[in-house]
Amino acid sequence: MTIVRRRRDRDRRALGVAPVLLAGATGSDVSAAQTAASIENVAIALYGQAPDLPSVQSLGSPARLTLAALLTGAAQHHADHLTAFNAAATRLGGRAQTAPDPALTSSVVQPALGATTAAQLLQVLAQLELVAAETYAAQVVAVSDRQLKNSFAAITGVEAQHAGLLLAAASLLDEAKVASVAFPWEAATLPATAATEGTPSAFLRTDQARPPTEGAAR
Amino acid sequence: MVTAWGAAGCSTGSPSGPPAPSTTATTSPGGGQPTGDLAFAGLAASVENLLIASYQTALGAAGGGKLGTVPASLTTLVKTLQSHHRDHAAAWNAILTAAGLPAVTAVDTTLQASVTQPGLAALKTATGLTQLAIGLERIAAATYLEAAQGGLTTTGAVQTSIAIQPVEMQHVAILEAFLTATPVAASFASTAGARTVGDGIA
Repeated sequence: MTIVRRRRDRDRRALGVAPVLLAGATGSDVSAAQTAASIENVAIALYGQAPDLPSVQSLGSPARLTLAALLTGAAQHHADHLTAFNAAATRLGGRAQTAPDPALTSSVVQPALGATTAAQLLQVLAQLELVAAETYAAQVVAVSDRQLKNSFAAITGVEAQHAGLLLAAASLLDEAKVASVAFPWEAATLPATAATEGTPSAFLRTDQARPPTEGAAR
Repeated sequence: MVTAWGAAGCSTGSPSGPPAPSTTATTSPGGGQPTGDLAFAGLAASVENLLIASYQTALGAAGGGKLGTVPASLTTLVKTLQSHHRDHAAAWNAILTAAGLPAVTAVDTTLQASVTQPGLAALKTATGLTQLAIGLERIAAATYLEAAQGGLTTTGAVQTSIAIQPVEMQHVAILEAFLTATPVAASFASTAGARTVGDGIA
């Protein structure tokens, strides 16, 4: 936000007038961007811890190394997504969201940290990715700001990719095919349906989308 | 999985795809070729039809022993991707028929000439099949992303695009998992290679 704009907003607050949002955007756009950022904060925190969790450490290499690389790569993607969403939030007149979405604590964070097997952990992480993907897909048609809309559209698919790879890896671990987890997959030894576990549906739903105000900065 | 449309009176859709949402029925004056979102729906259906047909050709080549050893994990995946594309084509055609237009059963001839025909002609191995599929899925994903980001004007069409684009992206990642240690290389999706409404449809 420019210095001139900050002063203007300060003056408007002094007059009892709310800061003006960027023309074309709505307060809900800011909330949507902040909620997205809060979901990314959850993902970044979890992915940062996941490689060191006992459920992952108990795996032998190369599965452990593959998962660690997958989780590290996903964490970097989520850091880029966080940057994009917080840039949108501030551009539209709001604050950056640095806190995690509290609604995901019981449904995602706790189950992930408490997972007793790597397969369970990956399934929870896949669920988080799916929640993110569906939330962003829903916001593509909901927000008014074009740039934010385009960000949601460009990110939802990447979360779906993460979900797919996590689901496929989880299914391999469930079938005790630990050695098959390593990328690139050894196609000849991969179970026939293993790859399809990573793309279970023809369409992305939005029924698990988080409310766009859930992660708004207070 | 289908997208809930949210429009009044719309159901959550059949297992094969979302119900045809209301779109602006735009055709050129005099009732000629559709324009706008309906034109895109026709293009999208033709792209999906091309992927369906291309995968069928590739599976036939695999089954006929023309690609050497093709693991069941790959052929099973390709059949699954093909079934998804059938659902996608059905979704776009539902939009067209709801607007009183005929379903598109033809293929995108521009993409066919530039990508699938030469790609299938050169297909010799399972790796080649995987690479060809990745290329096609990337084009489909890019096409839907570009449409959702600005090419489409009606909510229903954008919702359909954004319900499909992540799945095409997922297809890419799963296919890449057969070839690379980093199946998801980028933080953001790309519109590179997106098909446009100007493409020919046979």
